[in-house]
Amino acid sequence: MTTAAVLELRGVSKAYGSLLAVDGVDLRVERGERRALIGPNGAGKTTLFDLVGGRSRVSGGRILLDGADVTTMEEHRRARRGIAKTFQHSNLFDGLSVLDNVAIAVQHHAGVARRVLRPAARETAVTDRADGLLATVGLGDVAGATAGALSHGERRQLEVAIALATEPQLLLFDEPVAGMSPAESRAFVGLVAELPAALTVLLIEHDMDVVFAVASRISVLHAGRMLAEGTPEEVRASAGVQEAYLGGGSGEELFRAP
Amino acid sequence: MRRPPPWARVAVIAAVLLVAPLPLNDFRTGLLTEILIFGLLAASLDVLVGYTGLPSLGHATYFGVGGYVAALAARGMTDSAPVGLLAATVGALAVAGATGWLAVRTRGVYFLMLTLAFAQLLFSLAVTWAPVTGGANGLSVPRFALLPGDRGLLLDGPLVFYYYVLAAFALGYFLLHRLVTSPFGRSLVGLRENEARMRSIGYSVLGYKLAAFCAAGAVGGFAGALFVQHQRFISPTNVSFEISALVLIMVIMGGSGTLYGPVAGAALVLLIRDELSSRFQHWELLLGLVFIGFVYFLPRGAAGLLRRARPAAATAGSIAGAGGQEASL
Repeated sequence: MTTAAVLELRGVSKAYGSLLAVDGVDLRVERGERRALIGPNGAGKTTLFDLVGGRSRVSGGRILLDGADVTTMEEHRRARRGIAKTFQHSNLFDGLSVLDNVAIAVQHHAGVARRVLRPAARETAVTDRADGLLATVGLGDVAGATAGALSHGERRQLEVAIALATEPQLLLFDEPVAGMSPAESRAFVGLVAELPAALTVLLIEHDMDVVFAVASRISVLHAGRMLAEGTPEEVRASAGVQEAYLGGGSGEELFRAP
Repeated sequence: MRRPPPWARVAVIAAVLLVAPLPLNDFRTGLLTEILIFGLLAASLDVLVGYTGLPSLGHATYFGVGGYVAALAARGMTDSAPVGLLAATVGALAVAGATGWLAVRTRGVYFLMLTLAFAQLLFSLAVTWAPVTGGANGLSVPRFALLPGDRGLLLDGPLVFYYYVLAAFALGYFLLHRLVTSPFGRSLVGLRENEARMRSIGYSVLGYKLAAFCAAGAVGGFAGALFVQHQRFISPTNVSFEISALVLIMVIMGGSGTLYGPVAGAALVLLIRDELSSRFQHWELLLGLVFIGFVYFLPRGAAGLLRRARPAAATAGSIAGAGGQEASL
């Protein structure tokens, strides 16, 4: 008997009407892995993330987190079990300060989000932790700014800080460097490298520089099916993968020179 | 430019409210009393509308439940006003728990319609359940004392009653302020800003919404009891749609999501009503025009005028900003 993977998908499918967005996907991600999920637009990557995170429900198959079946578990309960994610289109508390954005996640994880007896500003443990996370992602200088006023790259960084605040065991990044400058992309790669080794990362990304810099293994999704899986070298060499992108238009974009 | 510390502002406002009725006649003192009561009611609704982002059009439900409980307690149980207040708060809390359990499962317009439906339901009940509520004739209420029993410090005269209401207002406002500036309050603002994201962080949003609904309802009932003790009378008018709408207008005109704004909104609406209703029969028409003017020119309400002078600490940025570090912009 093998030890439980952090995340295991068994024959997971998702149908929208007659369209099978995700079609019988098997996936096994071990603890501490840095797994990239690649594939052309429309391959079902974000749909798969939504199924894992609990934002939408599977049409078939099972999802196991740490060996426990979470297939029908509600989104917020999965989050408490250690799944965190950043969103493809940043999804923040735009009217709040950058610090409050992170503090909302920190206070929930610290179990003090229901407290009413003293002002939030006096929950110094929460504030300190939020400040620390902002420093980690490089937003220490703008803690007091309104989140809605941040630049695109800063918004992505804030996404990461919020996700880390829940101290997840599985972190899902949905196109984390989309729209980032090269410098910001490099900073993101550095950030992932510094994450705790026990933290498992699952990453959707089109920027192959980032994928090859970050991923220890790569899974390729195509038209809702798992096409290939292997080390970065294996995937790059795979004829099937190359073929899948030929004529797909996004081939050059995907495999532009690393 | 340095801002005065928060306690200084509180001290100034408290001093003004303490001496305000002294030069006023009984009628004006009564108006000031009413402003405090509706101010507290509007502030309680602000917890839902401004902080949690739940637009309720039925806040008269809890105002009315509190009022009827206070009236019935006064007629059948005790002449002690604080005991009546407590009973009314508990009663409104119970009704808010039951109605909120359903209401928080909806959102947007559906939430609005459901809260409105609850208020209409209670209105019908107040009219038809005559043996208890006095029906359309309402219930008159005997005089109140501060303490139960024979020598209970009668709350007699507009001035004495004003100070009683002021104390109750201070308590209620303090509790609401604590609520919205607490970590829980920050959670509510998170719901207003991005409910889906709250879920993905791990928040069970229904529980938070229900708690906010209950808190707003309880303080609304508290205000309803004060109003009945002030008027010494209650009728189905207290539960009418007009009250629900008026309170919502107070919140919006004053500036939602600020707590003090809706209190100012209450003062504004009641002053307009009082100044105009004696001279002009259709004062609601003018209130409507003023309201439109506010929505058009001051979308953040009267409080928006104050806020313009400050840095962009955002609506709830004050939560992190007020007591802790200031935005270093």
